[in-house]
Amino acid sequence: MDHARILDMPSPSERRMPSGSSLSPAVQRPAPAAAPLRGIRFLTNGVGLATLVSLAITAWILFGLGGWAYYTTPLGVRGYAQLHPLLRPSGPVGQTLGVIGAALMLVPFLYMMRKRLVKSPWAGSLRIWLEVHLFCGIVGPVLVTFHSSFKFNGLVSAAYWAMVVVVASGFIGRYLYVRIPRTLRGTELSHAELDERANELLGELVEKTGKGPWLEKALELEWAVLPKGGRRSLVSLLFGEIALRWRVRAFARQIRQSGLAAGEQRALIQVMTERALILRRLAYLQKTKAVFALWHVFHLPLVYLLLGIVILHVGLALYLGYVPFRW
Amino acid sequence: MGGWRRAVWVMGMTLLCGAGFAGRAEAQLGALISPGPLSKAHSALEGLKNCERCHERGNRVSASRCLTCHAPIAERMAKKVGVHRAVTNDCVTCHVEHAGVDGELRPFDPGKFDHARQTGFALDGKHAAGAANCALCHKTRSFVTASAACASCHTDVHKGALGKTCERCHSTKASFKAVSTTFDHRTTAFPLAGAHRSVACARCHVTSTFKGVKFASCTNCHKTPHPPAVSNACTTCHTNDTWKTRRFDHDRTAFPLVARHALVECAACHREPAAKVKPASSTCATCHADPHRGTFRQDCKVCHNEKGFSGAPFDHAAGTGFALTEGHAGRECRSCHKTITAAGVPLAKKMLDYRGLGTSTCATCHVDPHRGQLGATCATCHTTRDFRVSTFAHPRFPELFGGQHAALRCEACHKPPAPSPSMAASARAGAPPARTGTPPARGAGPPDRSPAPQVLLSAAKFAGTPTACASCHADVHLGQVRGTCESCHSVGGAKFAVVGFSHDRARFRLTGAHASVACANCHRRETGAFPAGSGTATRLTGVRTECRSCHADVHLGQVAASCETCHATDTFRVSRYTHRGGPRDFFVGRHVRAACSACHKPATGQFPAGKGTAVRFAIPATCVSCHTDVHNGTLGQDCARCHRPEPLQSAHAALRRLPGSTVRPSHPRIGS
Repeated sequence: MDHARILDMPSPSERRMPSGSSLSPAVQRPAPAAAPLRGIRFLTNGVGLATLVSLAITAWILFGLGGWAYYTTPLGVRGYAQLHPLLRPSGPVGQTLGVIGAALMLVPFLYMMRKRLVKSPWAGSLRIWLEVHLFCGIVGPVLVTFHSSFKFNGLVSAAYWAMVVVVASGFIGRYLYVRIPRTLRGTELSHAELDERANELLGELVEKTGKGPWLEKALELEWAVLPKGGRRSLVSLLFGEIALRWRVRAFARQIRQSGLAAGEQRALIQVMTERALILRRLAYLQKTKAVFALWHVFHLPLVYLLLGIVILHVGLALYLGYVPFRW
Repeated sequence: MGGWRRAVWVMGMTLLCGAGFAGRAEAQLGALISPGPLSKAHSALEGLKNCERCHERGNRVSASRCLTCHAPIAERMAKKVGVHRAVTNDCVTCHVEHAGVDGELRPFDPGKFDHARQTGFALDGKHAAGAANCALCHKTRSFVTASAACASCHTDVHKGALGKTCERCHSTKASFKAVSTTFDHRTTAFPLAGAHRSVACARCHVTSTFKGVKFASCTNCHKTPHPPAVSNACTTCHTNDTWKTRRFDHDRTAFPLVARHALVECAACHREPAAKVKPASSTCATCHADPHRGTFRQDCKVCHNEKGFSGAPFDHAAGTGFALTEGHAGRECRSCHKTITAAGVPLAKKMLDYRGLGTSTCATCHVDPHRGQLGATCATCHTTRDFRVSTFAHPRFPELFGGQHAALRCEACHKPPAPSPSMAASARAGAPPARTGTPPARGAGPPDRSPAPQVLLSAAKFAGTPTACASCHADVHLGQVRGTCESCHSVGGAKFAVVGFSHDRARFRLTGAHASVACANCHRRETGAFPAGSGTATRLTGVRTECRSCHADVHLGQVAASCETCHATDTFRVSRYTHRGGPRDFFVGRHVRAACSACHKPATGQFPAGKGTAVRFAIPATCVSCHTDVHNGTLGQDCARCHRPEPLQSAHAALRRLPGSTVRPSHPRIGS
């Protein structure tokens, strides 16, 4: 992206018009929001809620049921621990955790089906589906971990580690995913649309700074965070944004120490942050999309391995009579 | 999309490697689906084909599969012995597998094992030390083979002579050698008591013989210094505590030491050596001298006991036929038996002869103060308790001696004569003190409150005392009553109450209010002439009976007729009176119902009997004497022209206020 081109922006009055369009809030999402809403927003996304639920379940099992003592008992004598009848993999709690965990882990397949087979919009927005997928994909493995009672043996342990890899790759995927700007419904934004939004933000920036020294500083920052030349390394793609955020935070600190009014400070920081992110993501968009496509290949095949072993595991358990409610 | 291809290749290789490892052997394939390695004991069961040797299809790990191999356990379970005797749940509840090669299959914490409850053999006392080391007793792999019998672990030093129940003597609380201190000899046929307790075991159980030691007789162990006559009755004198016999219980001999015998030193009787322990004791004379000089031939015990020779509990009634009761009791023997010697005389000189005292008559000892006037049978009046005659019933006229007379003292009627010197002397000579003093006779004349003269009642005249009232009582009525005293008075009536008198017998009967009037209101005490002479007495006869002799005339002479015309004795109130005089047409209508006081009002003025205040009976018969003339005389005096006593209502209706009159017509009864 060219520096000169950014300065060639429409007047502020023209810029304000598209801000009400549907694409605007979606692009605004990664921007640092006003502080009070942050906690609640954390709960409305699948990862945050899953983390919370996982922590609750972990606390309940480890400290509510007394699982800590059980899981730390050596394997050789764990069979005679007080909680063994309850927490062993085929026990009332252990087996239920396994069943629920397995059921939760089937939900991502539904997401896959929605994405590939059912294209009609009545089946719910892809973004919602993704959040549900994330939630189940985190809580399910946590439950399965307690079902395993931290005893990893044979083929089923291969399935467990496959699951761990899939979940870990899922986090990477999620990380890449948010770097591809989208609408609220989850549709990817085109290069042109992003360009337009960037220009719009520049207009706002010019208006907010009044073409003063702050504008100069903002543009300097943008320049600093953008990749130089044609180099788009994977490392820079994955971790470059961290440096961006540090810089943006340092810039925000400078603004806060200035004599600007509080409202103006906030608006300036917001516009500046969003624009810096968009410019950077725009610069890496092609590379991100390529890596994300490759990521799918990595994320998916292990899932089938996992599914196969789990079917074998469940089938064997049922065959030998380890049926729920016959504890 | 070169990345795509590269990723698929990597994944494929990974799977192939995994499959390559899996395909190496069947055992490894089993290990792949096994939830963990089996323990060492079951290591032969690893492998895919062996799963169903323990796991049953659809039935997890069934006990039957375990017991197929573990047949001895199955046997013991069937016999209900061993640790598994009460097991009903699955084997896997207690034996958890797939917990690794070193997984514990038989978790057993000796510290938590309740040996007493689980096996019925408590590990207490000396056994407690072995509780943590099972192998001390359990030499075999199966613990069931261990026996609770002592001999299964311990050697029997008695070589079976004392049987198999070691715990009869030995306890787990002490070592075997310590049995001498812990053994309870009370459980044997010969409990150890007294000095036997401190004897060493070996003194009796010679050569470690514990069974068959003879103990029926003391001489089984002890030598006797006594002659054969007493040698077998050791326990008569000796106890288990000591051989000394100082505290010998003489009660166990034929001669128990009672009372004063108990205070006597042993040597006083047992003068012979100790070996001769039976001195003669059949008669008292063996030890005691006889002060009666052989006058009594019977046994000493008839009169004496061990509490002492004097004060012996001699039964005078049984022994002599003369019971010493009441007044005779408690006296010294010498007061009757004059011939015996006094106390303080040495035993050798003592002469105790109690014979020769006649007991048929009181006169043997007592003087008769009545000088024979009442005969020789004193017991008619006197008892042995006292010469005082407390309960004498007069045989004749029993009715005379009841009531108020019952409480009288004898001397009230039987008056003793003045004391004479000879009588006083005879009373002092030996007769018990006779009843003296004469309290005043009650009701007989004026009471005499001066101190009674000291006279001897025993000298009084008892026979021929008169019984007429007048012989004791004076006539307070001074001759007014001519009948017998009993017609009004009775000995039963208190204070000469007139219990037999009724006023109906008099001329003036008491009716109505008179019945409740006190007698003294009419019969007053007077001083004057009475039939028996002048004096002061209550007037009983000749009391006037007219009303006016008692009641005053409140009408002040207005009424000439007798009082009974209007009044009765019940009350002075005139309940009903019919006017005999007066205008005939006056007592009609409202006048009939009017109260007497409406017309006859109290007035103060001149009356036939003089001036005073009384209800006036004679009143004018004109209307205006009672009613106010509301017409102010304008209509004349003859009210009857318009008004009649009845009906007033119509008359009221006819009355009208005259025009111009200021006078309000008023009610004739009330007035204006």
